[in-house]
Amino acid sequence: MAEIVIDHVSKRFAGGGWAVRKVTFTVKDGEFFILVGPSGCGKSTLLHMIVGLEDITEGEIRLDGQRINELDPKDRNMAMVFQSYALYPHMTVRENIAFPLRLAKLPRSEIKRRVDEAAGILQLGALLDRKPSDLSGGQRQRVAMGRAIVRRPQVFLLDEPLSNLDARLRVQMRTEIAALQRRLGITTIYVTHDQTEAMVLGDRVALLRSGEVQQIGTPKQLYETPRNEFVAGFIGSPAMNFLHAEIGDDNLLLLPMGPCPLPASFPLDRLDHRNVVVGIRPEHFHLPGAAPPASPVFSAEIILAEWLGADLYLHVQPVPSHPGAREAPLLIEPETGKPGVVLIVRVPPDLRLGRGDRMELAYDAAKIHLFDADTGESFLRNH
Amino acid sequence: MRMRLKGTDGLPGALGSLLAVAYALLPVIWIVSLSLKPSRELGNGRFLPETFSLEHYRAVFTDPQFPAAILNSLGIASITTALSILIAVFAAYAIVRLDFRGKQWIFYGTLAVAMFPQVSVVGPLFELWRTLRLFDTWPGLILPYLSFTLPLAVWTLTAFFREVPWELEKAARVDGATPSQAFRLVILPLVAPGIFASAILVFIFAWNDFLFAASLTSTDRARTVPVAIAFFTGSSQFELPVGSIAAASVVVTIPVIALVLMFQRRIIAGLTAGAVKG
Amino acid sequence: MKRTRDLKGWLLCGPALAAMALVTAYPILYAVQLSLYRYDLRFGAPPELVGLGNYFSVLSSEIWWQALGNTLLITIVSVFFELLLGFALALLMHKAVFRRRTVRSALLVPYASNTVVAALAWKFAFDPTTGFVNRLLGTDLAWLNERWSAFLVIIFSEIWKTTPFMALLLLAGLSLIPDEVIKAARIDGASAVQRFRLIILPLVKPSIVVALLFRSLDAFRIFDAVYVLTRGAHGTESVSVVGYNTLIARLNLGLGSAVSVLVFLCALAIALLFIKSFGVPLLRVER
Repeated sequence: MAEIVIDHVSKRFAGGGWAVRKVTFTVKDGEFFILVGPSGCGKSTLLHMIVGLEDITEGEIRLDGQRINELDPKDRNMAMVFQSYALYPHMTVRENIAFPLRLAKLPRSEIKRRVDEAAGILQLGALLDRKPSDLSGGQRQRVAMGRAIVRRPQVFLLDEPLSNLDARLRVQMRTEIAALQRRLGITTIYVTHDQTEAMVLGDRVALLRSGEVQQIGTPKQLYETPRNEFVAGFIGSPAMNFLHAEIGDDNLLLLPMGPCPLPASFPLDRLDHRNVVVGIRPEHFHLPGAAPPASPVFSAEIILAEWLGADLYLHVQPVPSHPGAREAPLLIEPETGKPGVVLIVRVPPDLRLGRGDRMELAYDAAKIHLFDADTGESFLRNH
Repeated sequence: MRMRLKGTDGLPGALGSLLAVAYALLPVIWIVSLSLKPSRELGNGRFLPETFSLEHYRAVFTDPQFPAAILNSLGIASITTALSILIAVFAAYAIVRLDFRGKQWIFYGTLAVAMFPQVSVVGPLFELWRTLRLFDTWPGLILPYLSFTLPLAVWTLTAFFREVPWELEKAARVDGATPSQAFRLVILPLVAPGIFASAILVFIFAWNDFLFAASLTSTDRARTVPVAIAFFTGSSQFELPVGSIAAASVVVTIPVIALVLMFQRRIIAGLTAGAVKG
Repeated sequence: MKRTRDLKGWLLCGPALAAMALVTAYPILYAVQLSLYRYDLRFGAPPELVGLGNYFSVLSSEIWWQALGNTLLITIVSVFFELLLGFALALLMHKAVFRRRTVRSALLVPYASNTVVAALAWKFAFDPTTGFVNRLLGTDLAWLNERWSAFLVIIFSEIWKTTPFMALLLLAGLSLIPDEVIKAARIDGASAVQRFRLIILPLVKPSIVVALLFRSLDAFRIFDAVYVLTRGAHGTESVSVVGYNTLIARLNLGLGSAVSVLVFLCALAIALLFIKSFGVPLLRVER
């Protein structure tokens, strides 16, 4: 059993600012929990506080109900994989993996047995007598994992463990970490700035920004019902399209590509004549024929096409269709000097269209998100 | 990697390198040559000896003064080195690892001491040491050497400590090490070469000093090699025993040079990193 | 929390600071006190307060001014040539990839060799009976018995001993310049001279200033070479030799301490001059 409770935990910088502010969540036993956010959001600091490398300014961290704020790292029985792997350069792979056991003063035979076992799990058998400098990035990563699992910790902490690997290896190690965690069933907290890793790996995800939790939930919850504009923009790739819009008479949403009736599932009473930000994910655009019935349709000009084999992403600019509108789309609006509206849309990869072409597009009005234009808070639908 | 341009490396470069090496080695070769010349050849004005003789080396080692001076030099320089490095390791660790108020004053302090004219404290030390009975003793030299080598030791160690990936210390702590175990088992093996290079630099300073040794000693009790050589009188009072001096010089110089050459890479790193990045 | 970290830092640095202060700060204050007394150990008379008398004696003596002039001359001339020669050596090592190790190792020899031994080697080399220099140059000079030729030998031996330090510092400064910057300058059309003047020189300037400061103050306290080569005879005394002779050879602690304090003030003035004119980069606070 290892359940971690983070209870209103804060960390103040030496300069006076807050690195982490009133963070509260519970990591359940055996759960794979992700801390994700842009760099500098406090996620690594929080991880270091959990493992005991950083002091806690306010709040409490409990492990199975016991307060551990004052506990030395060595007494927490947590293992950690560092971003740089932090392998001891003067020790062989075997000595590196054995190090925690040696400190725990285990008998020699037991150390050997457990090192061999860990090496077996991670396929490090042939590398045991090498020094870290003779290993590739992926192998070093595995050694760091080995050193972490060998002591059978209660909690497993990983600080951006894949960010020093190349793209192909990253995907491979990601799968291996997920499989290993499921096999060992150890409570795991994983820090990353990569939303894809967070979505793929996490049972649950906490998204941090400027030291504060933005939303906690399953990857699906974060994706489908983001609490605010930041979460909506951070989760999902390519990112959600955001459009400024006004709500006119008769609950009509006035979008740059034309009006759209507001779905009745939104709290219409609160939305009356408000300024809002509308969010539409690239995958919720469709070709008119493939769209759900009654989807709004607009015409657009293609500015850029990104063909990825399985997917085709088009950067398009809506062409206003109301009478008297100008002919060609502009990247800069002459009246305001602001960039023109550009949408990223996902379309079937076999579509034979390119830059400069015009096309008709539809979007699924039932899937749009609405955010308060001032606070960025989401207007959630009633279910 | 720097571009390897064979053209710029060519003849002028080779010639320059040769000149540089000759420049550096000339006096050393000369003193070795003098030490091997038999007495009758000393006045012949040739750069190299015509016949070789070890008579001066025999003379130096049969004179009781010189072996005593070597013993003093070795003892004083070694103790100075050990103390200076020990104290500097603490300071360098604090400078690199801790963010504490007033840190810059440590830096200013080392800077001030490094530029301090030693002759300014010779008089007061002479007077103090006589009252404290430290005059003409080992501690009487070790103390000033300690003070004047600390800036060098602190800077070089700071430079080496900066290179340490300190995340390893954290990793060791998570792996179950106490702070002292983390330092002993993980950090120390990594900084050992740097500590060794700093130790050599400190040793050289203590080994080579002349002003303090000439001012604060008077007999074989604590007189070090440079003073012994400089005050060497030999049998005749009016003529310098050139051969013996040369032999003694070789004996005290060659081991230090050998030591430095063996560890040249780290010594240069320590010598320059402290000053450039400081 | 913060206070304990401050405390820990000072506890760890305390021994170093204490050891440094013990043999510098306290003695220099003691020197100031001694300098206010007539105190000559040869006569065994108790110290007698004479105020600034000793300073008047020193400052009105020709020996002090001559020694100060000598020291400044030695400092300026040797540091100037060290900088030129040191830069040449640094560039040589920087460029000559294949021989860099050899040259660098060779340059450590002067640095590591004993000043007394080095000075003696030059002394014997320039000596009319044992030396090879006269034979080599076809001259018949008693180099060390003439003021100016003695200076030449003193400065020469100083340059030999310390140029390598300068060269290694400058080399370290040079190697901090990223290769791409030089390549970019070439592509931008800078000639070799322009690259040196407009790119390399400004970028190594901090290293040069640091090297100059250290070497100037080091040269200013020159003692070993002068003492071994001439013992200060023939008008070649440096201020350190004057201080040593007054204090240790003549045991005049009062007068000698006045010299000590004056030397200290001169060194302080040189340091301040540097900091004022170059804004010495080494005063950046460690981070």
